[in-house]
Amino acid sequence: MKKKLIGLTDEELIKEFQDNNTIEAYEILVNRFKDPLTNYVFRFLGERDICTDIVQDTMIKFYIHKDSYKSFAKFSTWIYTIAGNLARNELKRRKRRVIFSLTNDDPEKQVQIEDKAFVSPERATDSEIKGELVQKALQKVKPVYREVVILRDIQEFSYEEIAEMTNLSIGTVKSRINRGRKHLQKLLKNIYSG
Amino acid sequence: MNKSGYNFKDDQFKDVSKILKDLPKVNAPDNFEYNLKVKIDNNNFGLSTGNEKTFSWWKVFVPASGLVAASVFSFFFFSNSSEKLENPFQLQPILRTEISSNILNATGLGNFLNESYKINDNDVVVETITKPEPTTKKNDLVASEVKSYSLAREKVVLPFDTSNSTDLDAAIGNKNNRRNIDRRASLANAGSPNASFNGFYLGQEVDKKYVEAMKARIDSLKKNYLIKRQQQRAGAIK
Repeated sequence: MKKKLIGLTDEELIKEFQDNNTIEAYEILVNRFKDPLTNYVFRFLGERDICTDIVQDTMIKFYIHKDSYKSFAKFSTWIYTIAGNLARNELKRRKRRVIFSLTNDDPEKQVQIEDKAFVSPERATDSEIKGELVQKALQKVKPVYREVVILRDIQEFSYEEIAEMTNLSIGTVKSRINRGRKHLQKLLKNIYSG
Repeated sequence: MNKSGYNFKDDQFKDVSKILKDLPKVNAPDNFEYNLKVKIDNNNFGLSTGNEKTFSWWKVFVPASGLVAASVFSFFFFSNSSEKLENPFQLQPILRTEISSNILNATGLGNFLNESYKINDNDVVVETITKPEPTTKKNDLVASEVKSYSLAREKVVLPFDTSNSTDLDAAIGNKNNRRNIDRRASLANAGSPNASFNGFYLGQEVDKKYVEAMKARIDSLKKNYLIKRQQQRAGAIK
């Protein structure tokens, strides 16, 4: 049964799940979208643990409200919209509380918070360090710009799809993407040369 | 919007886009699906990122105001206070004759009148409902109170002189002017047996000597006033 379902598109799978409550169809969709969604939410929020919870909640909402999906829209647009809403809610909650974290949850990896002035050009070429710096720079971009930049440049969605997910006009989407990129460019001018 | 304009801006930020695209992909943990399945199988649909309960003044204000309103309502309608609360919709209104007899009793004249004015056949008699001492409980219904009322006949002294009546039409038309200039009007004297009433004014016999004395006094005051005024004018001219 599962082998038959694997070849179906996202929209066909969700329809199968809606009509026949086929749990395998649901599992295939979860498998397809868990990684991209985790990557999207992580880049938006910057925290690993909470992003897993948010993606879990997204899948649960998908499971509970499967009938709210309408077939005229793309499934990826629908599920990214859910994940984006939950991520934004989490961001708002964060603003209302102050979190002091003195220890790193991952015992194997030690993350040192460094001052920019101490980052030498040689160290900046290390992809891991670079990734962290880019992530930190992304966190400094305004959330409304950050979200659309991630959807465009990392998740590689079209402007139309992004407009549908964020419930904005295409013009606004493009404008926000450019502003986000501009700000990011300023922040990353030390490391992206070459 | 000019499409080429936005495309040009895409080229402008090509490097930034490349950096973002080259970022390593972050994947879900290995036990992601297992944990999800456990949650679904246990019907544990409480979201990890559930909404925080935010404090709202309305959540406090509305029930508190409802409680206050209920307390006020119950206090006024269900209280068994020891004080006798008069409910104007349940008590019989006090008759006018009752009021006048109360006044007579309060002034001490009632007894005097009762002795002097025994009820005769030609007297004006008014039947009044007297309220006895309350023997029933305070919160009894009206019907039980009405049953205990008793009927009493008493003579009421009215400030009217029945022998002296006035024809209203004649008085207005001035045809039958029986007015006595010596009889000045005064306030109704409910207690005086000598009071006479001509329909409008309560006439009273005037003491002539008293009147003459008052007139003389007024004249002397006027004379003194005039003398003083003349003196002042004379002083001012000088």
